[in-house]
Amino acid sequence: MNRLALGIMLACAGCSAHTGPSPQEMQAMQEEQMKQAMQMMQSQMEGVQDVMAGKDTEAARAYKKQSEAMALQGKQMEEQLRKDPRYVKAQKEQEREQREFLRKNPSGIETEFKLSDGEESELGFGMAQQFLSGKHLVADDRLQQYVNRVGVWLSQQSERPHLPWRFAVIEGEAPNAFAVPGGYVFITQGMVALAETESELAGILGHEISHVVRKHHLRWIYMNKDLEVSVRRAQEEIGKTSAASRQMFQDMGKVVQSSIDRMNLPEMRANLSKSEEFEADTDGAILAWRAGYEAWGLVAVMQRFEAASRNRYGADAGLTGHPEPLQRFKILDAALRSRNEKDTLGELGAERFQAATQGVRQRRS
Amino acid sequence: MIGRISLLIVLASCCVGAQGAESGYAAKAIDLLERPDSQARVAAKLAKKQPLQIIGRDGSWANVKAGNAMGWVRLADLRLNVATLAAPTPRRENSGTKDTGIRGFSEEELLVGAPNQVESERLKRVGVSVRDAVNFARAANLRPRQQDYIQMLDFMPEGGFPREFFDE
Repeated sequence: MNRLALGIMLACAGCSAHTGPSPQEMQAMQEEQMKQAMQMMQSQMEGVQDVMAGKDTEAARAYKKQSEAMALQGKQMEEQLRKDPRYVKAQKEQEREQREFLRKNPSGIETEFKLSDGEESELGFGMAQQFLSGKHLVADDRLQQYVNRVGVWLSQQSERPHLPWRFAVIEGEAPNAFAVPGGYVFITQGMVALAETESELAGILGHEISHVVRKHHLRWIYMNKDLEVSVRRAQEEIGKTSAASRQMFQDMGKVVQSSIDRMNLPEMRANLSKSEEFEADTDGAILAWRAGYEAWGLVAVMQRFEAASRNRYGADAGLTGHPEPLQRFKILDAALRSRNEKDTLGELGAERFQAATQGVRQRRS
Repeated sequence: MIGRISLLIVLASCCVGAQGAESGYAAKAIDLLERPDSQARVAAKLAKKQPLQIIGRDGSWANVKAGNAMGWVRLADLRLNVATLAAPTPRRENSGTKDTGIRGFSEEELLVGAPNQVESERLKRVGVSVRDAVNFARAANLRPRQQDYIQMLDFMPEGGFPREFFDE
């Protein structure tokens, strides 16, 4: 028996020695494959960079051609699959799961960023203290109370009703609003004055609440941290492997590092924060609706904001972190028009708003 | 009688009048409609950039006056004139800071400067309880309703909005 096993083993060894690669050859092949993959990654990345920079280089054309071919292939596969009812069913199930996930993790990421609501509020309060440096809350207790009542009522319709929500009207004629983690929301008196109804104020506050609900600020902190960790891991791996692999891991580390650097490019940040702004716009309008208001308040404010900002943004709108106000206005309008009209209408609260904000509005005129 | 009064209240609350006299213009060649309804009869044809006086708003519709004609246009087809509004502060040139998005304030403002203890204590004090806010909403006839958030894929055409969508 033993002899037979040994015979087989020898036969196998002999066989592999003649027809298969040796361990050394195997390693060389693997390294060659990795090298090719690295080269592909690098040339692709050059292509992506050139496309983003708007350069018409060979790499950019190759990247565009490749992504178009892949998109077409994907589309054809999708069309083929759609004929199968099992696929359609699975697709629906996946969408349902996705919605459920978003309901539980409104930030869109799993809450690996382990902060309790209390810790987040503490962090946020620190940021709020810093933010208020050199600024003043408008000395009008009635106005502050009113804005807090609207804000807290809105927050109760969100996925994070238990945060210690605080709203403050701060001095300043420029229309602006801002939120920090933990539920602290600031709005300038100029922004309050840009609104004409409570539903419009609700739209603005809803937008800021949504940034907090989806943890947009925390996501930035988390994403940078996450990438740093992957670089560190790649660097740790370097010490464990052969000289050739070590070189490759180092190269890979460089690629990851360069992707971190690109993350910090203003336009990359701008693109990401743009989609967060669109998200906060649509969420904010729906929050206002959930609270009983019409959903169109934010659109109306944005229309005035667009007119007021026209001089400021003008030609270089694409270069700032702001999505152009006109773009936001049009996208939010299209978003709300995708719903039944009756699911967008509600209270305006015009008289209540006019009475409570009289002081700010008089200062405006 | 009560029916008539409540109807009047409903009518009064469904449309908000514009503060002062806001003016604007048609963003493109559009129809001025007799009612805020895309099926409504056409009251007049408006040319691109035709001046309009804004009388009020009802949901996504603006009640406007174009010369002698009155009617309704979609908010999306209306642009307001700059002069009727307070302008935002001008951008600071070469300050070495960048804005943080529509959140608006520069990173410099966020990260530099001594924490303001006095105003942040006020920030804590101005807050209201959930009970207070719920009572406020009840008195204001605001009832909570359920609706999912809008997903980008729900309304964005495949491949994103075409460039023409944003061009004016």
